[in-house]
Amino acid sequence: MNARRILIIMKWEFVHLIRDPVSLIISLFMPFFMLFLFGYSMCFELKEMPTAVFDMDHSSASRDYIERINSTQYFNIKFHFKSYEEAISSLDRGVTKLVIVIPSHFGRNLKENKPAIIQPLVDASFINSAQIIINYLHGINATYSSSIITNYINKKGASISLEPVKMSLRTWYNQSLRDYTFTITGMYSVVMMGFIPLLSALAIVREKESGSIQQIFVSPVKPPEYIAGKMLPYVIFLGIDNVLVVLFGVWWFEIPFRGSFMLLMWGVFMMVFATVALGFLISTFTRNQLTAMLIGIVFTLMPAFIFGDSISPLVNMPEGWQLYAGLFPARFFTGFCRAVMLRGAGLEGCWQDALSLTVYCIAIFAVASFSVKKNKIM
Amino acid sequence: MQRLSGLVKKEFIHFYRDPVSMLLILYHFTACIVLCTYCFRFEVDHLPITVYDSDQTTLSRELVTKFISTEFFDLYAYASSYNDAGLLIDKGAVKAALIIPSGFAEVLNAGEQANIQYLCDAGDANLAGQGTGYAKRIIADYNTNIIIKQLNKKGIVIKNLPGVDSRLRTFYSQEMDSVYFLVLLHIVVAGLIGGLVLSSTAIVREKERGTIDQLMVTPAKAFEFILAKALAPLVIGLIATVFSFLVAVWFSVPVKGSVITFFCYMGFFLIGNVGIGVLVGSLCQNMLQAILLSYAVWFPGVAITGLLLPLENMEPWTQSLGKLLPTTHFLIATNGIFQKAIGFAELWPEAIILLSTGGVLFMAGYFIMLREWS
Repeated sequence: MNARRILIIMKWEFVHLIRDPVSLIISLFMPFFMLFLFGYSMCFELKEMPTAVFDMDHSSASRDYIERINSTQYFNIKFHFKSYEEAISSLDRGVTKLVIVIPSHFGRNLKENKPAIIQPLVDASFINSAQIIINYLHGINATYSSSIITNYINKKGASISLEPVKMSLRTWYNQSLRDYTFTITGMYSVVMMGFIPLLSALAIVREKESGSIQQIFVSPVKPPEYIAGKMLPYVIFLGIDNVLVVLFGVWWFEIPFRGSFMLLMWGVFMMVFATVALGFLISTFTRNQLTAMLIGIVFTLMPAFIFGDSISPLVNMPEGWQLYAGLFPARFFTGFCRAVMLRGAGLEGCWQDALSLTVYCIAIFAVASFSVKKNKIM
Repeated sequence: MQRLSGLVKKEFIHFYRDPVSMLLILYHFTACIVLCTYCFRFEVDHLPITVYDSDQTTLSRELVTKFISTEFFDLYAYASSYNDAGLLIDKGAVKAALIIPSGFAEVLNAGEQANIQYLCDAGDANLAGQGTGYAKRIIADYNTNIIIKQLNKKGIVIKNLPGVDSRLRTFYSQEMDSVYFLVLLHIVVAGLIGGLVLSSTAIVREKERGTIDQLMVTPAKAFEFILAKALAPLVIGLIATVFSFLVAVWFSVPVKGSVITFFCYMGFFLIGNVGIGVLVGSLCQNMLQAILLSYAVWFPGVAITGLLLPLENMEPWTQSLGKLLPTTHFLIATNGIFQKAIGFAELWPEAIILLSTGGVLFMAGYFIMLREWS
């Protein structure tokens, strides 16, 4: 490969980029925008959720229970219904997502030391948030019940431990169990995978559509030199841009950053390199820009979502699919990112992902370069 | 009218000549959903954990079995020490560790409190939350049984402990919940691409290639030109939705409301998107700009419209922004039709909003186009 020819292609590409400032600026700002949007849209925090109650008991016990629920930061009792139909219709209309029905023997059962039934009605159309609501409610009930059990055991004069087995919880790497930590570190991959291949694919396909790629073919430039020359401006621009995106995410969403910055930067550049090369690979199959964009969405953005360990954990998937996920660099970068940022890992802690990413880069670059055949009108 | 039909026919010929794009759109409406269904699961199970049981008594083994015999926890390996367990979490091989200290059984039999530990990698807050929730429930059950046994031993005969007994009832959740969500996600994205991207790129492509100049010197009016660009993606989108719907039916996603109403609303949604697309197409000079601007519009269309997360759970400013987008209203309508069996009577505001968004933006694009059309 001749360095001089690569440099010439590089200069040419830089000039192209600067001549379309609108696109350049949009391209540079899009990742921030995407990260911002996805960050806010994917995280669920239960806070003062409007809740309804249908109390058929009207005893001091039931009012006490309702007050317990209301006094937490999670639920805010806003509605008191007088009939089952009202309750169901409120769920239907989406007025509330949780109605707690208290049947009429609640207080009496508690007094008689029998299990007192309550019936929470949950709108489960969004299973994620419904699960969180159910868990919190369960926690509140458990605490409430335990004080009842304690009184019961003390009254009976039996000296038994209320909690024979006490489980102490240690959460690592994300003490406050913030949803953002997981989501944002996954979103970096999605943002890079969704957007960068599009830009690099369009770079080549545009030349194909306008026919200016013929000029390259009649010049002494060899395909690998062409790819390398085109790649470097994008890697530089997008690499710096995405390092800034990562830092923006850390700053705005308050994500811990416990590892080495140099290591992370290296990882970002590797991922950018891989995705740019992926875009070039896509461009060898397509002739027009619309197709390039659609292929980009189908084969890079969606896989990043599904297989990138970003929304749905990879461990959930059938084994075969987990292997298939290895075809896309998203999951390596997500793993690398989480290891370095959350667990503070050095190279020993993340070498598998780092190595996979490097191998992936080299492989894709090789395939892309050798797929560009000069004398063939693709 | 004849000019319009000629232009519309021309659009269809354009699409017909680009089979790859059409296939990709179709793929997105169909095969992608199938793919996602097998891979995307929000309910967590098979969480890899490790166990360090340094007590090794019947009681401790009983507790461990309670954990690993559930579908939720998968035993990756037994840890040989506390540090070993920690290392496994560090490496990412397991997501949680159950630590049972020695003397566990002894303490329990003496009627005192035994301590165990549950360590978890909380990097994935969702997994961690569900994991700890499950673990707490297993321990709570275990404790209840022990307390009952101990009370019985003291002569207090009781079968159930007093306290709150919660009988949960969920609404609108079907076993096909994840499937429904994925089908909806794909229909929305496909509708956005089909409506927004197809119309905007169709317009800009002609500008870029210069063929628009050829059209300007024909008797064709700007309005007819733009209308043709809008109609073709609309039709294609609707046809592709039929396929999506078939996939949904194949997965037994129940539809409580009327299918025809759904298709009407899909049409309204496409009209809304096509309106945006026409505006984008009339503003941009080349394909790259059009594609980038489309991205800038359709990402929010997925993110902040209540698709991934309910609207009430987002910040107020995000909610207001989301309400401006057609997707939000389409989702309200579709959720209503599929899950709550409501129809035009309750959902007419959504129809009006979608149609007017499409109409207004279409006209805006038209006026911009008109200035260039000599």
